[in-house]
Amino acid sequence: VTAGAVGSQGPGGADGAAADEIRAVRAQLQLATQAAQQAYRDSSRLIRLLAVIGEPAAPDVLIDRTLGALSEVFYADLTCLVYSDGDSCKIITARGFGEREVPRLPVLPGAADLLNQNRLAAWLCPDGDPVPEAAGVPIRSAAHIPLVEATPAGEGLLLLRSDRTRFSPGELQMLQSVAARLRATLEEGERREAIERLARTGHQLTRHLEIEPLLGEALRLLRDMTGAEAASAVTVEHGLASLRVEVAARSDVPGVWPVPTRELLAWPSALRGESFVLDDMHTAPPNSLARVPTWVRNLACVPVLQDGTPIALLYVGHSRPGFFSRSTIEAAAVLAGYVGAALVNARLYSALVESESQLRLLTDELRRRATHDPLTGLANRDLARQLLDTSLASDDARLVGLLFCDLDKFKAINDRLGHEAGDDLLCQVAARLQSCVRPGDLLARLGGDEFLIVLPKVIDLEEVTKIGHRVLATLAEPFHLGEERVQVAASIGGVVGERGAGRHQAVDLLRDADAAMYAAKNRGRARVEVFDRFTAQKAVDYLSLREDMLTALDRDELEVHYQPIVDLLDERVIGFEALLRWNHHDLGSVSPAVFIPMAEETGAITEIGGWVLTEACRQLAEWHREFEAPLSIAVNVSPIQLLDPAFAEKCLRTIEEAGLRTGQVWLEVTESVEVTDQLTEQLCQLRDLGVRVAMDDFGMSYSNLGYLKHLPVERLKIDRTFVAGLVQAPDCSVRAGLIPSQDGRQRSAPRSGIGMDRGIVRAILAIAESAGMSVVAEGIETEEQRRVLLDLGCRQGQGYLFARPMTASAACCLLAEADRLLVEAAEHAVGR
Amino acid sequence: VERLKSGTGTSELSDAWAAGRAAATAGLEMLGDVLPRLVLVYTSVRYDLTELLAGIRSVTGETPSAGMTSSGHFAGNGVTGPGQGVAVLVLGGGEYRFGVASAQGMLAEPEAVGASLARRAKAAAHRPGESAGPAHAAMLLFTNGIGGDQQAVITGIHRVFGASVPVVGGAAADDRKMLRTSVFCNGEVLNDAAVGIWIGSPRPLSVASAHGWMPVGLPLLITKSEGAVIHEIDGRPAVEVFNDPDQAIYSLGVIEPDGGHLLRAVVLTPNGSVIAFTPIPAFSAVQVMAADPGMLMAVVDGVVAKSLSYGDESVLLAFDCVGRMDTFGDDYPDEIYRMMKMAPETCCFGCYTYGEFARAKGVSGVHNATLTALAL
Repeated sequence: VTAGAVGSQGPGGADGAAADEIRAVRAQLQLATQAAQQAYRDSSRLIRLLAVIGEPAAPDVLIDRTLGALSEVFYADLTCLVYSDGDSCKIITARGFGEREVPRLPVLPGAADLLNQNRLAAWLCPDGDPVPEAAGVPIRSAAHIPLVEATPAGEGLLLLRSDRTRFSPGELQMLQSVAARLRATLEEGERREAIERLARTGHQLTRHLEIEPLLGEALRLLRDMTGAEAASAVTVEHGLASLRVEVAARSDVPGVWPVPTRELLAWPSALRGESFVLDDMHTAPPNSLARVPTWVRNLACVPVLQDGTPIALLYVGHSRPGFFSRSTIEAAAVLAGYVGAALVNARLYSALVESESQLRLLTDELRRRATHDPLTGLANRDLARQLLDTSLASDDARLVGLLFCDLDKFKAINDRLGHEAGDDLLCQVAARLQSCVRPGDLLARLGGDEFLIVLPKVIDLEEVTKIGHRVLATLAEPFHLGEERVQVAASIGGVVGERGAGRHQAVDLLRDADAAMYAAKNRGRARVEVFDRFTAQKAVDYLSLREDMLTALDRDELEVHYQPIVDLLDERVIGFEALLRWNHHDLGSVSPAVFIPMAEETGAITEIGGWVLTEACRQLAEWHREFEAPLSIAVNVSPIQLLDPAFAEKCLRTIEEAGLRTGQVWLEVTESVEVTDQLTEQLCQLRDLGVRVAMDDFGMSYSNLGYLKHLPVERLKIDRTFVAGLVQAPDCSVRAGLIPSQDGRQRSAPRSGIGMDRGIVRAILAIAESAGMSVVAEGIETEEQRRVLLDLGCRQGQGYLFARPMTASAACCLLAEADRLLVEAAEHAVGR
Repeated sequence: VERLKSGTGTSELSDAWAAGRAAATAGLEMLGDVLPRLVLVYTSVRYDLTELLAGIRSVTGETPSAGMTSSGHFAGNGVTGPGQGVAVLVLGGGEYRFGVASAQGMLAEPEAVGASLARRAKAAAHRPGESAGPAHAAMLLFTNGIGGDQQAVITGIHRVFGASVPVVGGAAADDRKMLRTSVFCNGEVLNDAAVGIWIGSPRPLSVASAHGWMPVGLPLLITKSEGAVIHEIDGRPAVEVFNDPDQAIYSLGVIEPDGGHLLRAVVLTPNGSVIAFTPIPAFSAVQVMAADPGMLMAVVDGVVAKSLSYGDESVLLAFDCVGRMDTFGDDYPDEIYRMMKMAPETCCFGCYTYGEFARAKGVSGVHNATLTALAL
């Protein structure tokens, strides 16, 4: 009974009271629904924004995405990241202004300083006042939310609405928590970015042996890293500071150098080994302004220390107050550490030039630094290579062994626990590895998490393997990093090199050991894989062939061949299977068994598979124009292609562009494909559009009937091994071992009797019949096989008995010949 | 403002070229002596589309043209159902400026497609030697209707034009076959593409949209979704929320900042999953929506009134959802007749789409089961 219906019976009395009650309950329900709506909407907004902020992205992309999401969930026509310093407000980046417009902020009547102050505020255009405009949009409501509160100047979010809808206290509260999260994420991202950049470039500093170029390069890196507009370096000696190098300073105040260090504002912090930051020079004490260009508003200084004492100060400046974030300055301090190490090197070099007597000592020290890894003290790549070269050149009956170790998942530990813990771990690993090497062997660190063990005198590969396993065993115990215990394993590749005539080169051994290490990684990590000369060559050849595979399509080396599928009764061609061939520019024809897995591994199969489908469809359309026979084409599809979510759409487009009907194309998938929802969905989508799906090599692997239930299969292809097993093969090896098949692929034949194979074929035909599927037998080579298949009720097949895979033009001749015979037969019949 | 002149023509001839030519000829005749400056085309997918456009251009020549396949259309005072014919609108005179451009690659890079067609459509309307163009603008957008992120295309346009340029239009349809849709740009048939018409105007333009659906029951939170598939609502399998086993299509309303609802049509598949026509991000707050023909009809007057804000507009470009057509059933033309009655001095031209566009506030602008419009 509705409230209206009850009410219509008239007011008053028991009915009237009931009606009032129902009305009251309804009103309450409506209020409750509204409250729930608002609560749901607010949590939905917050989750949406936090999800955007939580998604990994570069800082500028993150800000852009956040501004987009804010615009969407708060109905803000314009959203900006701004910088307010009490006097003015500048847009750093914005959404909604369009790309032509230079973003400009409006003057908000009655709230001149709303934008300029770095504090939380909301504004509503007063009634009757002219409505301000920005980017062609009238602005009637605004909210300003600082990223960091309680600072006089800083970045903030600004949201502007064309609607006269005030930002509610609840909305402002939500925006505050979003702003805080954004700030934290940005800082973390900036820090990571700066450290990564530093890790890539910092080591370049050590190549300078003179102070000025060294400091010049350091300042270049520093500006790059911090975004500073100007930078300078001051060195300190005997209590005096001297300006050594400056970059883009545009100095407009006279500066007298050297000065006593106590006059430097940053000096007390430097003595404590700490960085010094002045967020805004305008709010700084007057004595801090000496020697700083007037245009600089944000100044920061990081000390360069030697044994805890400042030996230089690096300054950066920017015209925007509060520009340098804490994380940027932390990264700058790390750079100062690199500069310190390089300065020591440079000073040693200067001292060397000055002092003849110290020459040898310093040269040794420099040589040690040039040939050793500064972190672990182990030999570096150069030294390892020297030893390899000398060992290979020496005359000794024994071989030279080499082990290449790469720590598994080191990066993950580094990311999780930080760089310092990562460095600590590398030192501990180095110490353990040192315990595995024998006198005369050499342990080296190549950089990152790669180690090398040179074994100048080994008997054979087995000895190398043994040492590799010893390394694995020594790493098995967990490592202690502060409070954490971590487990580390390594993938190890080993090789041996021969001396004397035809000897190996160091560079070959390093390459082969690297390839062996990759083989170990590929086989599941924490493994030792050793290569003899032959395997190594094969691995290298494989890698080079794999490279060539990537360009085979561009080089025009791929070709589609076609094998007829025939009616077993009258040998009439009913369709073709498209088969890919590769004519390598040097090696000639490469077996599909070799190159298809390569194409799958490298992902090239997606493009190549698409090309094959296009070629095959185009060819079929051409045959349709020339011949009357109702032909179909079958194209093999790799599991990798099916991972592409747009696969179905691409297929359909290809088929349509060729002018074919979808029912004329069969896609053949193999049984080994793992049935995922995505796969089923793609295939069902194609089937719904009329494309037909065949199961290739049926019965060979999973043999799972559930397979057939899940996939929209309309045709089964009986694997050639069962066809071969239907009759007694002339060569018994075929029954027992590897069957060289017609398409060049090899597969292992099951050891079974004729009866069993017949049974399987009969079962396949029965399954197909009950599920309404057609069956094609593959690899028919003899008349007898054809006869048995026909007896068993199989009507379609392909194989050498009828035709080998052939070029498109040969297939064309075949079709023409069939046409001619047909005409002749017809004429003959008419004549009779 | 000088009034825009318009002419419409429709044809249901079976030959594609002849149908295109007949509809365009009728449109041009209605325009009289006025020089045509823009041609819009909506058509059934029954035709060979290249032939159809060639037929149209055999009379309109190089006049910039744009259009899309649809699931029925309306022009002048007639309504044509899905699968039947073609409708052409020819515009001339007036003080508006038009620029047409297209961009391909909607599946791979929808946002770049939006940005590119925005820039190029505006450039196409630029007159050499002119420093400042018209003070205001709007973007008419037609996109591929099956596959591709339509919202990302609108985001790309928003990035280029900013908040002051509203977007209106629709996603192409294909007579409900759900196989393949096309958009047209200057005689070319394009798939995986979007077409934009930049409209420069001496006065602000605004888009109107409304759906008429009402929420049923309490708000819900989508707790798990992947692209277009909604797995869970309020922590339960999504399908449990929809209680009528015979109904295949439902609407969800995403609760908007102002308490209104953005419509999203969803279908229940036989295997129990729920698929949205336009993806709904996880943790969106939604309500199940319901409507009857009366409720849908009730919003028509408002959309027309909001579109005709100046009162002297001569053309109403409308985009109506095939879902609305379904709810109206056999009486679906009544909605359009109502629209025509409410705008007696205005030429109504529109079609049924697989998604309606109206971006006015914020970035989002893709609607389902909605009526959107722009008047010129």
